[in-house]
Amino acid sequence: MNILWKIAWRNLREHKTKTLIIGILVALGVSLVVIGNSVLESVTRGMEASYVENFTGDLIVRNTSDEDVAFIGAFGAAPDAVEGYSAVTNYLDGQETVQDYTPLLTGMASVNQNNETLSFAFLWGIQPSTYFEMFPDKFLVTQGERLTDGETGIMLSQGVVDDVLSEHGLELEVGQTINLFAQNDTTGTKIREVEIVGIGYYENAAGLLDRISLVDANTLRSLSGLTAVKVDTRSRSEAADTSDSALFGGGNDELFSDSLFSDAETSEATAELDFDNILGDTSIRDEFLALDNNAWHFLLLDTKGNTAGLTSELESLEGSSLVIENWRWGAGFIADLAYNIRNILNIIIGVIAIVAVIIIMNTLVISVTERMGEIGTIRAMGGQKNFVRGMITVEVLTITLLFGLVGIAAGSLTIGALNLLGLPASNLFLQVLFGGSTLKPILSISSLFLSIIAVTIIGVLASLYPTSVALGVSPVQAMQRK
Amino acid sequence: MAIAQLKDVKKVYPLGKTEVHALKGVSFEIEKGDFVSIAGPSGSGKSTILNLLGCIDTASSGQVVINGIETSSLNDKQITNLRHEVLGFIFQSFNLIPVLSVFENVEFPLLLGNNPMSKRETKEWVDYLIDAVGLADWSTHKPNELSGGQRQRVAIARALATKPSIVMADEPTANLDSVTSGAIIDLMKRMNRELETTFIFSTHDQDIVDIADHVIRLQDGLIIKDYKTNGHVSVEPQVAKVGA
Repeated sequence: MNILWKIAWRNLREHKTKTLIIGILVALGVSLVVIGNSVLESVTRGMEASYVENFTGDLIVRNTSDEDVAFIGAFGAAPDAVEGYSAVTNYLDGQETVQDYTPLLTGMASVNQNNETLSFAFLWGIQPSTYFEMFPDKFLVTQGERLTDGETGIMLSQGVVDDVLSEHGLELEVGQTINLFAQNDTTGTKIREVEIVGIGYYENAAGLLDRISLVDANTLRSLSGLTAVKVDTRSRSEAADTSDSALFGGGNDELFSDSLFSDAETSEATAELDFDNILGDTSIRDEFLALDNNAWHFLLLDTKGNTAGLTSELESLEGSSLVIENWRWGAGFIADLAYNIRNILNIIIGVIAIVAVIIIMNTLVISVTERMGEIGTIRAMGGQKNFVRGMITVEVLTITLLFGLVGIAAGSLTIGALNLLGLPASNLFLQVLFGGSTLKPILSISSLFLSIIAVTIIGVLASLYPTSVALGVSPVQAMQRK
Repeated sequence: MAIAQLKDVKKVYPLGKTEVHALKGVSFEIEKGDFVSIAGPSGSGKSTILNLLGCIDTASSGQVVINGIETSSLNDKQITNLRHEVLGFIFQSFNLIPVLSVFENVEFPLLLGNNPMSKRETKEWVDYLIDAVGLADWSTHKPNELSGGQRQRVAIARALATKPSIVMADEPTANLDSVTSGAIIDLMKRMNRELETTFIFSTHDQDIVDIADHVIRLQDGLIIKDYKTNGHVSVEPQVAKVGA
């Protein structure tokens, strides 16, 4: 084996130009793999850490749904409330892998004041005590106070406040009230007046994440139509029928009968209508339109250790129909974007690898052709085909691994420099991707291994055809070398 | 005992739509320890015979027997082993590995197969061969730092490295001046005597032919003379067999 490496190494030194052409190509490709994957891994790692620590926790428990539901505001359909919420929390309380959990509601509303639409906000309805225990100091309060359990109010995001100031010249402050307008399928348009109890922001919340405001749960339940009716969809239709009857009397025919309107139109004496009598007893309606205090869209879990068992048990919990998601689902299209960019990068790397294989292969074929006499001599002297195969393979692996290491070194140095200097996010797209204004990429160890594996595969693939050419060299060609 | 034998060997090369009959039915025997010259003009079939004896080409028909082994029945691996263990080669253009030093070139054939010698024995043997061909001071030099004669000396040492029974030399002096040619043939002859290795070389140089103790003369793919200089070995003229 020693002689193979010796011949390979000396041949590479002997043919410097050829070696450099192949080497530069390999080194460039490898450094691209290292830099690209390190940057994108830093992006996804940063994104994961940011989401897990600030927004999603380790796991998100939600109800199953046929639709793509939203974790943040309007990026999907409104989720159903978690079925059997109490049973789920009882289960979670007994799990060692669950360190902490907090329920969450999601929604979106326009922010109005004095009949003027000022902005819009993504709303998260929280249970303040558990939320701030699980995410302490993540929502940095710049004015006012945090919400407390049972308090009605909103912790408005700094992004909304800044938007209102720049667009309308209005400075929203703690203590003021704003109106939140939202629509839902159950109760239609809802308006709720809330007091601004605090103003703050999530650190590293780029893009639209800076519009997340925290609101008391009942305000968002009301805006979202999370009533008792909404919670139990099976009983809703039955209840709705009863409610309609109670509300509107005997039915549509009776409600819209001629007698009702003709009387109203024709008789002054009937001007004073007995609404209580017409509407009947509204207690059932009130009961069904009452907010369900157990209605939560999500449960965010802070876990430790292996959660595979927890996940499968939660998903098969009796009386519930749950899906367990992670931060990536919570991040939605932003995470998909990062992963898609990574996939695109890998496709580009794949194309470069194919080009590299072709170039290396062609160069090697020329090299083999030039050395047919030498190969023929080796075969004539008793060198088996395996020796020739080894000679070519070792030569290719030497050049690819050697320059692969050069590429790894160059890529690592570049990542080191970028880490020191910081990669600025010059536009909103990059801010969303980086999760902030700068990215300090960290060298991806997996990309180093990936690069070494990639160059080895490139080397082996590139050597296949030249090797077959070399193996076809007859010892007679040694004799024909004059 | 014959160490190499050709029995009615024919070799036909396809050339486009026609065929070239390089050998038209050749038979001869070579005894162990012979210093054999295969002589004849260009195109007479000298190189073809060397290729067949060297097991680097196969006959179109007939038998090639080396060391008692009929070579046509061997597969590529077996025939490569046979070349490694029984045969040594000296080429007209020396065919040294350019990136290896003199020592490494001579040692190289030993690394191509099972080498029964220890590392120390190998070094001593290679040093002995290099010394024997007069290149002890050039051991660490690369081939491109040597003259043509020196390169052919390296090639001779390399051909002897595996202690082969037979050394094939295809016009070993063709690229050398007359003085160097004489020196190379003398060296081969000395090695032939000292190591009792059979040397078979092709040449069209009459001066060199005369040094051999067994001469096989070819013309147009047929043997016209097969004789030993210490006693003429006559063969039937084979011209009559053309086309047989």
